[in-house]
Amino acid sequence: MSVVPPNVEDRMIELLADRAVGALSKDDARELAELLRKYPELDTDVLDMAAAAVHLAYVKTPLEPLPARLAARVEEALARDAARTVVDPHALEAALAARTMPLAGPTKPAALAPAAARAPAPVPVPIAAARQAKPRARLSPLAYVGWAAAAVFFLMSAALFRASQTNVVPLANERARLMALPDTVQTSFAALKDESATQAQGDVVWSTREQRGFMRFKGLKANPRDKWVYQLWIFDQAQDDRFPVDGGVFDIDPSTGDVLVPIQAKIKVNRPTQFVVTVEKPGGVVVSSRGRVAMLAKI
Amino acid sequence: MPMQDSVLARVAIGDASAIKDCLQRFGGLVWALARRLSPSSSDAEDAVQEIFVDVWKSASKFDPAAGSEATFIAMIARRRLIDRLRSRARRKEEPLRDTQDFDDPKVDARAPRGELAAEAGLAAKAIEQLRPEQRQVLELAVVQGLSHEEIAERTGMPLGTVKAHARRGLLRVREVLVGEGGRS
Repeated sequence: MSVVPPNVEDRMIELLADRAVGALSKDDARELAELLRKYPELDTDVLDMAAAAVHLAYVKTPLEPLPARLAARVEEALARDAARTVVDPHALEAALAARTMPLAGPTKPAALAPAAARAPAPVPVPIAAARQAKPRARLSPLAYVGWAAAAVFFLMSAALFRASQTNVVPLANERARLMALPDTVQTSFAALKDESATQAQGDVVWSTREQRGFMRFKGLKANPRDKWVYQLWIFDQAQDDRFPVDGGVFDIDPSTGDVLVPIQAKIKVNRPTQFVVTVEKPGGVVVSSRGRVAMLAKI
Repeated sequence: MPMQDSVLARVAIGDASAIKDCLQRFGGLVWALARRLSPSSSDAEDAVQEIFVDVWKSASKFDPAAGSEATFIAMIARRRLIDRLRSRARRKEEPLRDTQDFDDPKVDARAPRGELAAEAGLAAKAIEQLRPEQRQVLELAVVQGLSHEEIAERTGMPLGTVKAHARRGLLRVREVLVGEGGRS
């Protein structure tokens, strides 16, 4: 993950809006492709979906059905394509998992949580991993049936999983949406001298109106969960600096790499001035001694 | 929408029986969009076939939290049609701009619309909340398929203003849709 400068994000929104209405020039298309190559986490369909919704609003109903001759032609073409297509359930699983990460899912069994129970750590989303899909492989028809059955099973499981979740969102899309709001603030984290952050970079976006935000980190050291965790503190101009708002605890898994962490402010934040990440004991603390400060972002 | 009711989820796993359902449910929508943004009926027919092949390949990317299946399919259709428009522009051909399947969004927002009802109703509500000039620019750009330069010429607005209205209008539509639909 690269930390995206604000001017780049502004330019991306311009280019994505132009793309959504079909107004990208050749040069703009090249610029957009280059920016997406550099910052793949900014690739989002939200403006294309908005343009499609606008178009739908103007469609007059009842719609004229597809002419039968054309429907037959398309059906035949798709059937040919379907016969050639092999579904890789791993790719499907990755695609589904990438867009259904729980905002506040537990990262370890409840039995391992400390007695002084605090909110479970949010699951950081590995941005790079979420975008990786394995290339499709050629399989025999029999194998295809097996994969398809496995995929159906997975989809049913995913549906059940979804039904059990009340707070499921595609986080990268949610971050992009927040960034488009007029009150959203965004700033970069600076790494302090703590050993956990020597190679770290990151940034934060926060909407006071929605009381929601996200942090992105690259290079923040993985934490052994039974020894220590990261905890976010939000300094509010309306609050005494001795009592910053608890923004939630989170873990960095060694396998995840770049991460996107949803902020879970425990009380309302009126006017944030600083976002500070400290290192704390498992489960987090109510008041930080600020003995180990990893990252700091000033508004 | 439960995953098992989703035609795109079935397409995503290569369920051949989903083809017919997909064509039945969304064929009319794609046909209307294709005729709108194609220079001839035969070109529109070719576009429809390409669009459904794109839908077949992209179905696993459908995210029900980001919009309805109809919106997702309209998005895929628009992308393909815009690509075709751009290559036609290089050949100096003009789209049909068939208007018979398009109407004022206020009128349609009140009418029963079956498969498209919820999404189109929400979008119409969002459009009603736009500033008049944002709405005008979006209608010309999205529905009429005009370029920013053509819109500037037609409305007398500076080019930069046209671009800003389009961008802010889309962001506003998205914001309203998220608020109304409870989406992320």
